[in-house]
This record gives sequence, structure tokens and C-alpha cells, in this order.
Amino acid sequence: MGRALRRRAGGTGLRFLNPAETRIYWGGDGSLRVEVGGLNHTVSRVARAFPLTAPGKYIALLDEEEREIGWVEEVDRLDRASAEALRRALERAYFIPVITRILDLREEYGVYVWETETDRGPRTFEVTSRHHVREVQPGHVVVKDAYGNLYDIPDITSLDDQSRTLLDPLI
Amino acid sequence: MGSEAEGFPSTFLDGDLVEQVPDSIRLELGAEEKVLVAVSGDLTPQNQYGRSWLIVTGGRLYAYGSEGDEGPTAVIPLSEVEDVEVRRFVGNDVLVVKTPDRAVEALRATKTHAPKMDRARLALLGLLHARGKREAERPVGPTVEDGGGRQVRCSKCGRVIPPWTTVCPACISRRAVIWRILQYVRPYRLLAAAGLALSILLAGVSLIPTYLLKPLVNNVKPGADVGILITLVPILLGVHALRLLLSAARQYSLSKLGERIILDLRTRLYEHLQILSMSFYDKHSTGTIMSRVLSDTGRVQGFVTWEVQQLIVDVLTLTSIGVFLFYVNWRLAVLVLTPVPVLAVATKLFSGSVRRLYRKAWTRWSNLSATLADAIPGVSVVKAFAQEGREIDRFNGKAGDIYETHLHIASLSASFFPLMGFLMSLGALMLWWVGGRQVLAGGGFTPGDLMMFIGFTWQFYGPIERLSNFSRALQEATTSAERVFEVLDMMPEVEDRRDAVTLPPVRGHLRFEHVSFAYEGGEEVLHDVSFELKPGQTLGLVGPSGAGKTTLVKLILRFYDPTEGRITLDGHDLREVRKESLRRQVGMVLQEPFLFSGSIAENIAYGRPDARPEEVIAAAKVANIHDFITTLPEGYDFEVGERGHRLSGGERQRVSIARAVLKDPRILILDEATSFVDTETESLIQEALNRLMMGRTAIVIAHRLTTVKNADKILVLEEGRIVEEGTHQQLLRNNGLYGRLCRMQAQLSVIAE
Repeated sequence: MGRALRRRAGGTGLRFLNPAETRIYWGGDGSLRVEVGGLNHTVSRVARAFPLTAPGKYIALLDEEEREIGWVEEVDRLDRASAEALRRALERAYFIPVITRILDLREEYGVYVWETETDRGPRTFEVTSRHHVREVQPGHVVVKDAYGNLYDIPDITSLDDQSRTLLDPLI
Repeated sequence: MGSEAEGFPSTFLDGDLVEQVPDSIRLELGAEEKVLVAVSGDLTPQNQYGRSWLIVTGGRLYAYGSEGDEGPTAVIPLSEVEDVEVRRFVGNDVLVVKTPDRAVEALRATKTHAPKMDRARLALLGLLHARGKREAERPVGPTVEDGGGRQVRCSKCGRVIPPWTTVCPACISRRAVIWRILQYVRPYRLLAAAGLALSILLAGVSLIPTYLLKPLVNNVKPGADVGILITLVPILLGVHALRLLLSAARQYSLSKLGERIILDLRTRLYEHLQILSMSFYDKHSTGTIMSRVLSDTGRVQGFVTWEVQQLIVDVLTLTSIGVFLFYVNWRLAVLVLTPVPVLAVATKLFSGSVRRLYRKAWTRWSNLSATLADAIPGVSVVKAFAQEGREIDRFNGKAGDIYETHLHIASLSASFFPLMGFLMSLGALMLWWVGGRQVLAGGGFTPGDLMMFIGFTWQFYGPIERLSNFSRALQEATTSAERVFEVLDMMPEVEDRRDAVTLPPVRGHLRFEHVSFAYEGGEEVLHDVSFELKPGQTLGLVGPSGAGKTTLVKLILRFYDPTEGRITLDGHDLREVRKESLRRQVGMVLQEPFLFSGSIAENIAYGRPDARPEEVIAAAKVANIHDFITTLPEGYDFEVGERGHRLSGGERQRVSIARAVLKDPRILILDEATSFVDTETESLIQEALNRLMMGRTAIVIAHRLTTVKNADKILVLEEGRIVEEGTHQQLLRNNGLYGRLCRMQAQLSVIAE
């Protein structure tokens, strides 16, 4: 794969795609494609290494055989069109709405019922264990509902008072 | 419609694949088109929550991104569809329809609808299949099963069922549960009746001093006869002494009742836990089972004894004082009642917010104990990586959180109880004001009446506080009780038939006949396994992890029954013999030997507690552990600690071999007994095992192929199937998976040397 891939630390290092030589776009057949150093690959999967703590960094592009085509170190460093195409793919691969407000959070028979507003619209969901409310970094909370859907609260201090009061007993 | 999109459409619950299509879409399709499949998702193509649709008619597939009038986002003739797949992502699934030249996202939904996506895919594939074969329309109904797994939602009320139970706690009949709890009181009904009688008596007696306030106040005044004191003071003394006795007797009888009930319940529960099949333990974690045995039973005990008795006493006290007050002076009685609603509401609000705070404190407590549970066993890692400072900071942070929360609780309680006192004083003050004027006016209402009245008022307010919190106690107790009863009601899945026979001593002729097995709700882990093992032969089981080796031996022990086929031992179908008589003749040495806390001797004799000491020592000798034991100052009385943690891995292993030796089983199961030990220990163990296997039918699960080299037969399993079968030499010649594994291990051992 040659010069386009900057090799690091020998064989086990990450192959970072050089942003200047990388172009990511959606093909006419509905698949994501990456062109790097003159070679063209179909990307069958995009995988974040840190989906919760660094969603915009360290993204692996994998081909149909689950082999690494290469890593995008930072989405923002790609050219605008490529970044846009990759973001669209990531949006699909990781649907994690951001909770902007908690309207109600009550316990019914050991199940926590959350009524929230998210950046993807209003949502009511149930959480079956307090271990599914997880502080991944100080002030950054990720919630998993009964079906395995994830919800993100990147910064609890930016929530309004009512939301914080409701959330407080759980963290 | 909006509320349905964010909530859960009812159609999700019954698994119907022809949902009610909204009119906006229905009109577009035209009335004459027959809808074969109509499924809705809860995500739009723009990644917003909202209802989207996938609709299949006789000839075409329509994808609607919303329910508005924008029209379909994609229309694909069914004849062009080649394949349908569900792509699973984080937080959402996408149903993708493939045509020769493109892949179209036909429907998107959150994980909430994951089973429905699979059903939709199968239904679409069914349609394609039917078209390809005979152009006929096959009716599509909810024929496809849910992908196994437990029920997430209650089918009655739609609530999510908590993970620790399988019954919806909102839909259980509280009355039935309480009735069942009371059944546990029945054997002790005399004790319960005595406790109740004492409680009522005590409550009644407690009213007497207040009642006597009236004659005391009215008659003890300058110039009055001292006779009143001579009668009343001894009476009061007697009343107080009686209260002392009653109170002590009540305390004792209720405690005894509670302890008896909890003893019964715990014993019943534990007995039942021992009977339940392994599949119960697959589904529930040790923590939840322990909390059922310990805290849930405790909560039920508290409820049946104290709460119920207190409820009866409180209701009686309240009504009797109430009736009496109205009888004496109804106007004042009405005044007494005025602060009651405020008291009740305030108590409820307060207990609500205190509960919230206590939950917070509890969450933080468990965070702190989790930190400790991490850091203390891992202290050598902490020190080796020089992270003491960070661990101290982590602990301090969490401890500080607890301090803050408890301070919050303290400040809330500090203001609440005086406030309640103040409210009650207000009630009493109103009485002074209104009642005092009645006394001054000189009607029949004496100062003594007023004093008595005020005294009863204070006694009236007490029960109100308790009663306001009763519904909560009731809910907690019934939920706990339900969790306990749920376990008691569970039937073991592997149960002896009523006509099961006792397995006579066997020679050890084992046969698997077309055995298949799947764990409940899961995929098949063994497919059509057949083999025969003659008495005294050794069978080696080889294969990658997850191939089904452990499952296979669990079937021999009848931890589970095969889903298809049968297993026979000396010609007896295992399902037709008593589990106990089977297991008595099977010995097992596990991958991670499990010792119970107790002495080494007790652990060796676990399968035969009546074994004589010389037998225990002989077994230890066979297991190559005797020499080690004699070096211990306590010898065979050495306490091994919880799970045997005071012994090394190799020592535990040999103790467990000695255990199997002593049991002298006809069939022996060894699960890779020689991993994680040094070479010398390994040879000690190997020697012990060879002695143990002599003359017995043995099944050996091995990751190291040297262990099974001398086996009479080796089965190579892969994904639940037998892929190779034969002796070591035969398999090497075959040059299949076994040959490959052998070469890999040979290379490794070369490196090791």
C-alpha cells in the first residue's frame, strides 16, 4: 500500500492514512469508498476505537474481509468532503443520541424510566440497572437502555438544574 | 402518532408483520394494492427519531422515510431484489435490500426493534423464495420466532420487566402475594396472635395515663383532699409497670416470630436452590441469588412481623382516640384533624426526597466498596506500577462524595423533624386557644378535659406519620416476596421422572446416540454427536474453545438433558435413571478445582463424608499430595480458606484428584487438569491422574495434546460437530485439524525448550 500509509512502530503499528492523500466518498451503489495513494477500496465497516471518549479520532476503516485498510487519526483533518462522507458513515454505525434535557426520571419496580429530550427528538426509555448509567470520564455519562441503545450526556454540568437533580442519585 | 413513535407501538409486542399503515401512505399506495408486509421503524433517514415504513405489495417494495406526504424514499420492484440483510450497528439496525447494482437502506430502527428487523428480513426472504419457485403469494404471518432471549416487556402493561425477575412486578396481584406471605405465619399463629394481642393491649394501656390527666388536673388543687393522689399515683405506677412488662413481652414474641419465619423461608429457599438445574445458575448471577437469600427474605420478615403488627395497632389507636375525642368534644376534635393532611403530605414528600438521597448515598457507597474491592486485592499491581497516589486520590474523591451526600441527608432531617414538631405544636396551640376559651367560659369543659385532650392529640399524630409511609413498605415487601417466591416456584428443568430407576453399579459402557443440544433460547452447541466408549477405555476430547467439549461432559453428568438423541450408560438411558444414582458413579476433576472452606481432609472426603481417615490418606497418596500435606503443621486439618485460596493451583488440583480417588467412580471426567502449573507439578499431577484413570472409563478434555496421546479414542470437535475420530496415530496420518494442532503445539514446546 506504499507511501500513502505512514507506518509506525514496525508491523504492529497503526497504519494511519495520510489526510493529504486520502479521499473518502459514497459510491453510486450505496457503498462507502476510500481512495488512498491511487488504490481504491470498498469500506464495509468503520470502527471507532474510542466511541465514547474520542468519537472523532482513531477510526479504523475495514474491508469486506474485516482487514484494516487503514486508520483515520482525526476526522477533522481530512478534506471537507471526505470528512463529511466519513461522518455520515459514522452516524449510521453509531446511533448515540445526546440527551439535552431530562424531563422525568422515576423508578418503577426497580426499573428507571427516563423521559428525555435528545438531539434526535424526544425519547422515553427504560434502564434496568444502575450499572447501565456509567460515568466514562468525570462529568461524562453514558446510559444504556433495556434494549442496548446508548445515550450520551457529554457534560452533566451543562444540563439544567432539574435534569441534574433527577440524574444525581444515579451517579 | 408522535407519542407512538417515541414510545412503543403495540404492534411490536405481538410481532405482527402487517402493521396498521397510516392513511397518508395508504392513500398513495392506492386501495387496490394488497399489502403483504408493512413494518415500521423508529428512525428516519436523517437519523432523527420518527416513524419510517417498509411496505411490500404484490409487486414492489416501498421505503418511506417518514409518515408525511413526501412520498417513498425508494421503490424497488420485487423482481430486482436479490438479497435482504440486516446490518447491525451501535444503537441501530438497518434492513438493507440488495439489487444487482446497489444496496438500499429500506428501514432503520433502534435496537428496541431488533427482533422485528430479523422477522421482517425472514418474511421478505420468504416472499422472494415463493416468487422464485411458483409465483404464488404465500401468506406472511408472525410465524418466525423471536430470536430466543427473555421477554423484555410485560405483555399485559407494556412495562419493562426488571432483569432480576421474569414476572412483571406491576401486574402481580399484591393480595395474592400477601396471602402467600401470611401462609408462612400459619405454623406460628399462636405466637403471632400473642404478639398482636400484646401489641393491642400495650396500645390500650398507653392511653390510660393520658386519660388520668383529667382527674389529676381537675382534683389536684389547693385545699383538695389528698385521697385522690393516694388512689391515682399507685394506679399510674401500676400502668407504667404493666407497660414495661407488655413491651418486653411483645418485643420478644414478635422477634421470635420473625426469626422463625425467616428461618423457614431461608431454608426452603436454599433447599430449592440446591435442587434447581444448572440452567438457573446460567441465567442468574451469584450476586442476585445471594441477595434473594439474604436481603429479600429479611425484608419479608420485617414486613410480616413489625410492619403488619404496627399497622393494626396504629389503625386501632387512631380510630379509638379519634372516636373518643369526637365523643368528648366534637368541635375540638375537628381542630385536631386540621393539621393531619399537612402532616401526611409533608411526611410523604420528605420520605420521597430522603429516599432519593439515600439512593444517592447507596450508589456512592457501592462505588466506594467497588474501588476498595479493586484496589486491595490488586495492591501488588498498584505498587508495582507506582500508582499509590492515584488510588489514594480515587478513594478520597469517592469518600468525599459520601460525606457530601450524608451531610445533605443530615441537613434535610435536621430541618424536617423540628418542622413536624412545630406543626404538631400548632395543632396543640389551637386547642389551647379554642379549648382554653371554652374552659374560661365555664361550660362543662374543665381544665382536666383540655389537658387530656391535648395529651391524646399528641398520641394521635404519631401513627399518622407511620401510616403515610405504609404503602411504600407494602410495595417493597411484596416485591421482595415475589422475588423469593419466583425462585421457589421455579421447577428444575432436569427432573427425575416419576418412574426413574436407581442406576445399579455400572461397568462403564457409555454411548452417545445422535445427541444434539442447545442451551435454552440459544443456538445448538452440539450437533448429532455419536460415539461409544467401552468399560475402562479413555476418550480424549480435543478442539478449539467453544467447540462444545465442556457441554458434552455436562450432559454425561445430566446437568442438562440432550434436546435430541440419547445417552446410555450400560444400556440405561440417562433420562430414565435417578440423577443422584448417576452422579454417585461419576467423578470429576475440573479445570479450576473448587475447594470449599474447611480442612483438607473435609475437602478430600467431600463426596464421601463417612470415609475413614485411612481412606482419606490413601487417596491423598494416590493423588501425590500426601507428602505435601505432611509438611504442613496442621497436616490434614489444614484450613484451605475460602475457595481453597491458601493452597496453590497445583495443590488444589491434587486435592481435587484425591477427592475423585476417594469417591472411586466408574466414570471419570477430567477437564484439562494440567494447565497453569510448573513442569514438576505437572508430572506429579499426571502421575496421579494415570493412577486414577486405571481401570475406569474416562473422558478427558485436553488442550495439551500430550494428555490424550495414549487415549483409546480421540474425538476432535469443532462447532459442536465431530470432525475427526480415531487414535493419536490414525489422526496424525489423517493430517486434519488434529494434525495441525499437534504441529502447532510441537513448535511451541520446541520454543519452550
